[in-house]
Amino acid sequence: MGDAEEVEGFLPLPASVMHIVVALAEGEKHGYAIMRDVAELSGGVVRMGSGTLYGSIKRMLDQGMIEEAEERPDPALDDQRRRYYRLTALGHRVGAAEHRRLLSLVDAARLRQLGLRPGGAW
Amino acid sequence: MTAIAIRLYRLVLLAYPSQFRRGFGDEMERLLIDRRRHEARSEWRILLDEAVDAARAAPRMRWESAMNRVVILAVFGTMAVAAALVAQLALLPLAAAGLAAWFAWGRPLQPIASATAPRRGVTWLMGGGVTIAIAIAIPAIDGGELNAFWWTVMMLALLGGIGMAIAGVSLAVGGRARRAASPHRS
Repeated sequence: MGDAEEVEGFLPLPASVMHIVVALAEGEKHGYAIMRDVAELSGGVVRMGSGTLYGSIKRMLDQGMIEEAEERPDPALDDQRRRYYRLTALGHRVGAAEHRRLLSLVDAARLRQLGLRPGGAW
Repeated sequence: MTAIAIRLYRLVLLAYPSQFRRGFGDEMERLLIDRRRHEARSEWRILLDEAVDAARAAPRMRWESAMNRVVILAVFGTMAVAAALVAQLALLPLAAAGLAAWFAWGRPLQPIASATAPRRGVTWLMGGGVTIAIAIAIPAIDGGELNAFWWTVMMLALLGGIGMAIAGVSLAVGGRARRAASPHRS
């Protein structure tokens, strides 16, 4: 299977997974930091519960999109129950492909003036 | 976070499959404490949020987990039944050879063939099928997580079902053959 085909197989990403990918795009984070980042990036619209968050994290770990970071902060400064996650190379490629897919969808919506015509929501 | 809220959250966590709890339970508990520390919400409100989220997320996880096991068991169960049937078919030539020899060299002390044997065979065969179906369904009943007890029950049910099915086929085929060969049949 080619690289592009492998990435295409993941698309479209579930919204919760794409939010986690975006949150981890700037570096490794633990669960609560991801949850807070998702809420901030979506302006408070998306609020993940821990079951949704860790369910998605488990799937992404199984699929090889993310991995657990080996480096841990000083145990004196951090709870050992926290685990830190980061995107793998595959996770970056899948995130970029989903980004392109969403952009083309937004472009199509813009071309058809979705929401700008009379009777639209905007 | 009060101790009672943590205990209640551990009860909420029981909604998730045990494998998932083992992997992420401690981390989820830590996240609950973080939420209480950083969010301007009461711990009961946070607990309610988490319970609602568990009600949404846990059934899907349990379903996925159960379906994986059911599919695997269904494949292996079908293979086992197919192997048993093939074994039965392989025994048929032997049975035919035995019957031929019996006819060729006389039939000393031949018993009166039982008219009920084929019917009993069908009953055993159906019983075996039902038992195998129950064995395959056990992982779904147990929520997708087989502990040692349920694993033992499932394997015993599977082996028992296969045994019953083999006995049923033997009774049905053997009884029919004996009836055909018997001079006393009605």
